[in-house]
Amino acid sequence: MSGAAGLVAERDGARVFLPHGAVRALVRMPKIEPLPRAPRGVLGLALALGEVMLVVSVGSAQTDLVVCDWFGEALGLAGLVPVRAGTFDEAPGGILFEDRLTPTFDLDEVGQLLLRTGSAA
Amino acid sequence: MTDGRDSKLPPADPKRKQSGLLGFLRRGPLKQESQTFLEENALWRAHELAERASTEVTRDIQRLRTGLGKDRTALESIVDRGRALARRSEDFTRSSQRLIDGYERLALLSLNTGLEANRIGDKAGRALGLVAEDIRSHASTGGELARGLGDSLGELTRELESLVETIEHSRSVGNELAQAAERAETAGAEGQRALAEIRERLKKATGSDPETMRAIAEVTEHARALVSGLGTLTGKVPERLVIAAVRPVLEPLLRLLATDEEGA
Repeated sequence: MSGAAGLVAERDGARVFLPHGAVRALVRMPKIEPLPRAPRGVLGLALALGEVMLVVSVGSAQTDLVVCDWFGEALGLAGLVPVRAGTFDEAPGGILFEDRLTPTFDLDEVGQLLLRTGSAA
Repeated sequence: MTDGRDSKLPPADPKRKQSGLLGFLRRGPLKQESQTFLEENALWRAHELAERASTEVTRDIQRLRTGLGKDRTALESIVDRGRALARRSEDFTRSSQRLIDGYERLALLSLNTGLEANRIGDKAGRALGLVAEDIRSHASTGGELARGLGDSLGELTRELESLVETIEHSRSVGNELAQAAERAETAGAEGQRALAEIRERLKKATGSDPETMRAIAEVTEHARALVSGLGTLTGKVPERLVIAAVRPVLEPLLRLLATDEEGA
């Protein structure tokens, strides 16, 4: 069994795995400026790590922001509670964390939302 | 002490001598004056009892007021100290919140370090990852403890505030009691003034005073005891013997009583 590096986070009580290639950094939740006419799920724009980024809500937690890399651009994911960063045992569809299968977070879900944002804009 | 040879007393009535001492004492009902005396005596006694009770009540109320005053001072001090404690407890709660925030930032930093360690890879990255994980673990424990501390301090603050509220309520009840005691003290003083006025009016109306009435009552008690003693002796001891024994002592009194009756 090979290792997969990344971040384990909680999303409304369920654990998800974000591969390290997708995660740039974790920051405390910055001030978010709402976007007019943005679709449901898009919280707005925020300044973090010296960059302005779009913030998307993927859960209810509001303490930290997971800054991801989305096709070379910074993207903030709100609603995740970081649990552990490290290298974990790979398993089909995700990793094993504390002897349980933790599915890989589906960034496509966010992608669909962003596409809708693009069409709305 | 007066004896039978007192020259100031009127001479003994021979008829009275024949009727005998016990006969005199066994005579008919009291006259109107004696009845009036009893009424006056009862009135003075009632007045004396009322005055004594009024004085005691006034004194007790004064004690109560003093006690309430002390209690109020003590309660005010407790309220002030309770408030100060609640404020300090709130400060500690805020401090624990800053502590929680610090631990959360440290945990985030350790997670970021872990992500960085993943990027570095290799041996150095793994070592960094282990350190980051250790820090995250400590930060997590510290954060949990700080949260527990914050919760306990919050509970303590609420308890203190509730305690202060209860004491303040007691203080307010104490204030009401103090006001009631003050009113009672005023009423007691008025009662005493009224009793003093009654005393003066009684003196005027009856021409007597409590001291005299008390002395007369004492004499009456002694006389009653004498009659009772003589009654006990009746039938057991020859009357002649009793008369011989008590006559020297009682003759002046008998003459006094005889004079009084003749005058009436």
